[in-house]
Amino acid sequence: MSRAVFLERLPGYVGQAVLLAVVGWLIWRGVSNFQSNARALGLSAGYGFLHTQAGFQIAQSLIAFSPASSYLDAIIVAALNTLFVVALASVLSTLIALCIAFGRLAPPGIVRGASSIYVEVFRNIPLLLQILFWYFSAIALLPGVSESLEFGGVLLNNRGLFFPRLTLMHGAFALDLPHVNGFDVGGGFALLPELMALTAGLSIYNSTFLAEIFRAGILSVPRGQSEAAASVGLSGVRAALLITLPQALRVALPAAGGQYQTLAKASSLAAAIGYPDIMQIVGGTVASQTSQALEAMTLVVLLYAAINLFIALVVGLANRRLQKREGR
Amino acid sequence: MRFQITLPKARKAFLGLAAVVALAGAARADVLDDVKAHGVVKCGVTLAAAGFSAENNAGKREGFDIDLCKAIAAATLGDETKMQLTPMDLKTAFAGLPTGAVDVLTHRFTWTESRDVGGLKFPKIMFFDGQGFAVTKKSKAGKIADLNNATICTLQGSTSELIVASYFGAHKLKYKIVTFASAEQAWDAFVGKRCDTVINDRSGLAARLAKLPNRDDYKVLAETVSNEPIGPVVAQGQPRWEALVRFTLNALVAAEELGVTQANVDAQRASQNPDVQRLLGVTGDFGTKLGVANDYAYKAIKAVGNYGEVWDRNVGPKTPLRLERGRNALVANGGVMMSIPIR
Repeated sequence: MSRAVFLERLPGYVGQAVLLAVVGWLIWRGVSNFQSNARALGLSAGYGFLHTQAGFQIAQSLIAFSPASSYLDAIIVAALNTLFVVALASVLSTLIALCIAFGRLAPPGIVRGASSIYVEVFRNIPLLLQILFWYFSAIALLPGVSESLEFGGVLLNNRGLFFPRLTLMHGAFALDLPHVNGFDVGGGFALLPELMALTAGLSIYNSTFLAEIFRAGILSVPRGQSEAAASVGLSGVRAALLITLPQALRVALPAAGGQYQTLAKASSLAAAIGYPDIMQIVGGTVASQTSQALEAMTLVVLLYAAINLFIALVVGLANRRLQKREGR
Repeated sequence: MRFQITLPKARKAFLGLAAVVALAGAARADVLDDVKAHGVVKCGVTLAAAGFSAENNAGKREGFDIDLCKAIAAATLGDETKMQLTPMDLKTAFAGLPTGAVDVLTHRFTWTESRDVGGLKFPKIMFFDGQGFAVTKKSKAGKIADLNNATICTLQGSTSELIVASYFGAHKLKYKIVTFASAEQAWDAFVGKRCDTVINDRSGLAARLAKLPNRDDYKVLAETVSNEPIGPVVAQGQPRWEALVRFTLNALVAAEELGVTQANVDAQRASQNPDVQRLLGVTGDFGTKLGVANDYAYKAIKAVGNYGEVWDRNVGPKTPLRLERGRNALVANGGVMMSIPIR
């Protein structure tokens, strides 16, 4: 590097060094301030609490959990609950979005109009409002336990939707049927009203954005592709699934990936309706009962970051595969 | 009560510490002298709790807590109208005592060790509260044991969650719990039939039930599963003011024990009962020693009546809250409310 170039760049180097020093100083001051304040307040920092007994119950747990379980168990249960609702809502919103995307591309008529109205209505109402609406209308409309609706072993009431469950008993499979048991339903596998409302809200809201992303992808596929498919005798549906959609996905996938991440983050609105997710259990109950708000909130941040990075990884891998196929 | 259980411990600890720091920095001279000089008693009260501190249709704030403030104003200044009410939430309330924004909190705060050690003094417990369960009458639950397999709505991160877990665990009862970010949401979900029962302080349950149009469809189970001693709060380091607040409140309880009421207090001044004579300042120098008029208790009783009258007028069985005395009945009637001897 010549002397002239160095001199020209010098202000930039100095500026970066100063900025780095300021940021470093701010971080150092923040950390040392926190440490001295925490000491003065007698707050014990650390994650020792994770192995102490939680002492509270959780409404929905995919693994065994009781008040005697540890805080760590509670956090795992909460993380699984978040993953469960995110997975359910991702699948559902994708299916709805595909229908709506093709619907909006249909010839003018009822299907196209209805699809457009669907997108405009649900995209423009705040998600929290939609979730509260589904929740309070669900518990208002569903019957009480004693008046449960029953169809083919499945029970529906304001405590949830109860499915029969296969269990292994004495070496043989048995069907564990849900049945009304006083206040509650015993046996079977339950979907809580909170889960159903949250899934409905997340799926419907996100499907509007996904539908537009898919529509953009479909429109990016040259018209000649579907015309060629028709000329070799493929039906409309088969042409859409085999020819248009795979090519549309290449365009849609990166944007759709971002939408799935948005969905994962939006699932934290669960706290409003009492679905026991990461935000509610870790950021709420664990934080306030252990008084270790900072540690609990750090865990919340790490868990959401992990979930979103995982989604990014899956989308990235899928994207790479699609691009490879295109290159062939 | 509500405020105590909703706030995370960290925040409580912080507020307690902030109160201590503020106290050390800005200790007030003498609150009793201040009050007399200003000619007004400044009370911090709850923002809105039916029966305790809420505005009536005329926009005038009234309730159990307001009557306690009135009694203190009457005892100190001889005039129950010389009070100034400031609705406060927890954050402003505890900071307001040491700075002099208020002289006393006639609020709904539970006496706890951390608050006491942190510089907040509770001169006398005026309400023995505790957490209880509300249910629909249709559920036919008559006691907590009937709540086996029930779904319970409550506030997330509250002591209620732990109380439920330990009580139901100890009694081998099964339950499901749904926790919400606010007590209002938990209550709405219960009224919306998502849950079979909701747990909260009994006074809080009564205040919420009072607002329901179909409140007769609900009831609160008799059992109480925690202790929440509630009473007015003063700043520490004010022994004269603390004593005056204590014995003014005490006089209301003593009056009920002795059968002195708002209506008969004038006639009772001629009573031959030495206990009544000392209470009303006819004999002795209790008021003078407290630094106020010797008949301070007479003025307080004249202003709001005895403890039982304050109860019945604001939260008792004939009010929308319909609270039975329960633990708050006089010892003679099977409760735990008693006066400190005036001797």
